[in-house]
Amino acid sequence: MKKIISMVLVVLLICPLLTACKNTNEGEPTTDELILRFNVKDGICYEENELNKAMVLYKKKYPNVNVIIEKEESVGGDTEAYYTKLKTDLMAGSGPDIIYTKDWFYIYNDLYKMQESGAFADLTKFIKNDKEFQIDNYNKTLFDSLKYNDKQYIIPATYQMPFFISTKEILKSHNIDMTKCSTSKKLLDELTAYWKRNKDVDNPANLFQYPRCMMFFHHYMGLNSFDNKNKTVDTSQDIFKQALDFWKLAYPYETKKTDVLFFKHKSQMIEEYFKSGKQATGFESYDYQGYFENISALSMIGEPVMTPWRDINGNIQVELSRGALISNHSKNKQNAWNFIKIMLGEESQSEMAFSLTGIPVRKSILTSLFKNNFKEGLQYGNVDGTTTTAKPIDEFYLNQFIEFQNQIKGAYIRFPVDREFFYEFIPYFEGKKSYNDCIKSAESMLKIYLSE
Amino acid sequence: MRIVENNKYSKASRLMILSLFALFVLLPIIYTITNSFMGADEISKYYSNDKQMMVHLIPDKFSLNAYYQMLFRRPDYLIKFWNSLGLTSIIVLGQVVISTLAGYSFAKFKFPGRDTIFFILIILMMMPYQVTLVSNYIVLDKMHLIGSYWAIILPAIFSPFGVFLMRQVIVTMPDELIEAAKLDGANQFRLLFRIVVPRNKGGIVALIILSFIDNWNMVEQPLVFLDNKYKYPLSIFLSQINQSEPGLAFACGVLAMVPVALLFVFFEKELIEGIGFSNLK
Amino acid sequence: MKIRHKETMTGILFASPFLVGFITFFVAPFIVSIFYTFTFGTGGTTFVGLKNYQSVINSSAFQLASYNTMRFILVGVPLIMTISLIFSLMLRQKFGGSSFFRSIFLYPMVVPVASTVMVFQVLFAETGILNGIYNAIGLPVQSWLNSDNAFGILIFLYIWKNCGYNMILLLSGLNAIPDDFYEAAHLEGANNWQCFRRITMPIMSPTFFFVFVISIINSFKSFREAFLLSGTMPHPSIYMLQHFMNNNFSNLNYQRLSVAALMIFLIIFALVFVLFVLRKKAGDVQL
Repeated sequence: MKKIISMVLVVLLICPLLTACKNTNEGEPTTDELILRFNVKDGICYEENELNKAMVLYKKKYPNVNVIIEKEESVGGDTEAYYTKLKTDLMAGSGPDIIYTKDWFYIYNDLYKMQESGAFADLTKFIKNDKEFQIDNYNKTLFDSLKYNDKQYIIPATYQMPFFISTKEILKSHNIDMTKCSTSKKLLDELTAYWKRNKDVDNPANLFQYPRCMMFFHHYMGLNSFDNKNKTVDTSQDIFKQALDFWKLAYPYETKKTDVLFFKHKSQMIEEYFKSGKQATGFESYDYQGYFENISALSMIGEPVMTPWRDINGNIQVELSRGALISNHSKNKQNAWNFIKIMLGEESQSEMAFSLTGIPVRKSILTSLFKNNFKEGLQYGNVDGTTTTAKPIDEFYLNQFIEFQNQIKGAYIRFPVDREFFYEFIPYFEGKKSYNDCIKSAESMLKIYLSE
Repeated sequence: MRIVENNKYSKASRLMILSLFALFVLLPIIYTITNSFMGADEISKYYSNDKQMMVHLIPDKFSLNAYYQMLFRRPDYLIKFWNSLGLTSIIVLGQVVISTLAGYSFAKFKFPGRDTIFFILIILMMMPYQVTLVSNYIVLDKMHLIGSYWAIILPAIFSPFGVFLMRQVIVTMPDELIEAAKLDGANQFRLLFRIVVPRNKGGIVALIILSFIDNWNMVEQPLVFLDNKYKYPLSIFLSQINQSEPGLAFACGVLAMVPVALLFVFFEKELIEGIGFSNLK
Repeated sequence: MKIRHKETMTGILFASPFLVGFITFFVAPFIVSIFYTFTFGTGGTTFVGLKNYQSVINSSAFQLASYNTMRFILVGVPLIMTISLIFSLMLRQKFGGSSFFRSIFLYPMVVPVASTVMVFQVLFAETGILNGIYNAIGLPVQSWLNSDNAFGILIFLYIWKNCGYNMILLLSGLNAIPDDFYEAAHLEGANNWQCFRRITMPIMSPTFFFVFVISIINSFKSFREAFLLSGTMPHPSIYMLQHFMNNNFSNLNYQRLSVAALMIFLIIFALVFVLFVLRKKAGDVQL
């Protein structure tokens, strides 16, 4: 009898807690708030700067909505703590309405798994029913390839495309024929041949300016090496081994350099790396501004050649750069959706194209952006104080660029285990372990990771 | 029990085995301490990732550089030190009070459900913290405590380990003492303060030290429940600095050992006695 | 009757501050997390029945983690209890330096985890000290932390850290057995092993229980060392249930986390229950 009484007392104590927990999640949706959260890193709030235009326009269009911006500081570059707190808040049912993903988001968070957990809202209904939102303005393939289980959680805002850059003259002098590289296999053949020719040369010119981009080779090639949905790993394709063999050949040379810097726009660096013969090609995942500025800089030393890293079928895979998700238990989903629409509008996308975030997903502005910003040649300051004006970028490059965008067949998201996966092969590059051993340990590690 | 016979041979071999084991046990500690006295260039000479690391126990040049950097050039170290100290002291104090009361109750009083609750207590005590982390967060969020130190202090004060320990200690106290005191007319509180507490001082000291060690090293809860980097305790600082600056890591480790070592030195006798009693019956 | 009633009330009074806190911060969250194992979506919005359980139990990560955790407990706990028992038997008699040794063995507890990990990293890294010795002898260099040896290293760390504490416990238990018991047994012709079995073990069984419980708790704590040594995705041989839970926390999937937690709870429950039953059978009424 006494035992029963004590059990009942305990249950009575707990019930209010349970109901309290449940209630907050099914509250009435309020329509006068929008909560955003930004990370302030060492005094700079990058997200706020990127979304500046969108926020101004939003406040103008919806003056009744109270936009609350939570700013969290990560002192000393400790972004991981910021994401831990964000995740804990999301799990507890609080947290911002919109989650805006930035490049370092993908270092700490596995978006595939997070989508699986049901943390984000499915936006398919919004896309279908909202008359203001015209999917044709955007690259539909991009949207579709970012779906998870046929649900659209992520809305891409900008993306990046992988390119090899060089000039016709430099390529000729190194006997590299980029026009042959219409598929991944042919690209690898061409680059492997280059290194085979040059490995005994003194100070050979490199093909990549920073080696870590090789980590994502299976993404560029459109291989489905890790299938997050079916939790399988597939490394059996021949081209997979071919890519790794290429890197094994190139590894000692490409990784020797330690003084590589991001050169997106500085013509001096292009001169330093290309003119001096340090690079035969450069490789990077490009944004809109950087792409054309590099063409302009290269045009001062020759005829620029931009070659995308094509996938195994000859199409192009792009990397999601900035995107937005709406929290599943947000009470302001409609407000958040309105904000996303504005973020994908012409003005906001134009601003994002020129803040180094990526290539805007709104394809209708690509031409007008070019005409507004690159009509005249860009100017570069010289060491002696004078300025040189490069010739204006030929329209040929714009048309070629737009053609590339039409050849996009899929988009991928970087995720944290890419790096671990690649590191499993470093013993193979260094000759310490056999290929099959590396594959075995990589696959066993991945299997655990995917099935968690 | 005579597992070995008391002759010179076995005494010597026993001493040898024990000394070897003791050296083994102490080696990492000695290593940390001696390495903390090395200068920055020595550390990078011996501990860069590519080169082969060797046993480098005795510093080539005695240098206090690491300590100087820690104490004078890194203001956040001292902030975190006092954070840790304050946090841990409050937790230990609260835990001792609550656990002694509850331990006494579980040991010497009979009330309905006592044994069932104690059984559940043991099992929940053994669970790793990840089990309750998220739900704890939700509860604390409802109480609007996230971000303040109370989010860490409150769950730690009510940790079942303290009650377990105190209960085991107090249970060994002979009932006759209590009966005698009651016959003398003492009320419950008097009993508690005049008899129970002094008699089980060893257990209380043991709880103080063990609780201090546990909470001094706590890493995960502050990361999740606190939001401000300046509020972090020392343990987090230590784990982060291991990655970034190995040279300072040794000195930081030594400095982090100091409060615990001090407690040890002061209370060693009571500790050994205290742990001793905790298991009988 | 009146006295007993008053006593019960006092007992409840003394225990109540703890009970309130314990229920708020331990029992209730645990029950809430059980509730969440049956839902999907952050915030517990959709009821999905046993789907989470199916998914977790079928996942190879969970199976590996459970296997490793059980392996760690089944190897580590008996090992540490045997080692501490042997050493405490050695330290039982007061000889020159016994108290010195007793304090020495407690020192590993003083060192913060991060510092020990640092030392062990230096010891076991690719370019670490142990490999240096191997190099000198002529054996091939091994990758210690990234191989099956990682399990052994973790066990070693666990024993290193907790042996001293267990030893002190066992020692005080041993010291409490009066010497006359052994004198009498020897007079009747019992040898050392029989003394141990018939006298030491029964009297020490409450101590053994305590040490067993503490050792299991400490074995869970060794997750921290594994985490500091190898990060979130360690070598498969040391991938434990806490890694599984931690990573699911990182991926916002705390339904799976809660399922794993419930599994741990059931395992521990079974272990402790079995022990309780054994103890009752052995005749000891109290813990």
